Amino acid sequence: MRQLSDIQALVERFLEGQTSNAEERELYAWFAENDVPDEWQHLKQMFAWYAAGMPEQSNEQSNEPQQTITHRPTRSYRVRLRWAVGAAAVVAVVVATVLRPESETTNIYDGSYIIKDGVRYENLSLIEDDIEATIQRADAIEHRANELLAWADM
Amino acid sequence: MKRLVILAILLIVSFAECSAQENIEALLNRNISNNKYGSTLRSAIKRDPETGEIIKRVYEVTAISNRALGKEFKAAFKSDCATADVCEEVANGSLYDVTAVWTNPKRIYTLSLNGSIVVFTAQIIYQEEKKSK
Repeated sequence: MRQLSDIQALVERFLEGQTSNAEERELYAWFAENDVPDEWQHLKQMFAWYAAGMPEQSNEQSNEPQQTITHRPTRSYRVRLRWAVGAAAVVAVVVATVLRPESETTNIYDGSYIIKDGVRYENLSLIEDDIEATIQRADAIEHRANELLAWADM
Repeated sequence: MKRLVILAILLIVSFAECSAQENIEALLNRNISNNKYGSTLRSAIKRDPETGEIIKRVYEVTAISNRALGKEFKAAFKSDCATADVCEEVANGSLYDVTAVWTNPKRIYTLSLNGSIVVFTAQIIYQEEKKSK
């Protein structure tokens, strides 16, 4: 049989969310089976409410005066909260990635290079004009090729 | 017998697809990996500005005063043009231009030679599925 001091310590751990399921069931049972000091009456009500599966109370059904009880978040609530925070973080990262302006991070000529006299140049800030001119020449050739294909189909 | 004919046709078609630009590609790959001709290679990639996907890849090889490379490219074009969807060849004195196009996937190869000055320009363009906007 636990002493009041043990129960008090257990209650404090309960309110801090550090108790195990077994300890919580022990608290529910202890408060249900024992007379408690007046200053613990609100705890008795609280544990009875937890033990009953946390039923919703409506003001119409209850004629008792409302009391302010400091509710500790339930385990399932905490788990849901953790999932919600995690999901929100993932959504934030995805949205930030999708909405990120590509032009700020991706150069349309990214991956291009020039080999001249056996030396490879990859720095786009140095070769971008040259690469752009190459693409423009290629576009002109493509235009000519499309004309040839169109004539071939006629 | 009918099945054998169909199989033979399929084999011929697949062989033609595999070897469509093999001579030109071999020359290009050799030039990329071994820069002994003193040529300049430009490997240009154009991407979709929104998605970053590659739209077009261009290889441009330029060599000055290298008749041997010009002859090799010309021979490669002569050989591979037989399988091209379109091949246009223009010879005017010392100038020689050829454009070869393969579709599906779309590939455009050009070669321009100026015999006396010996300037070779070979451009090979890989047209990706996505069109430029």
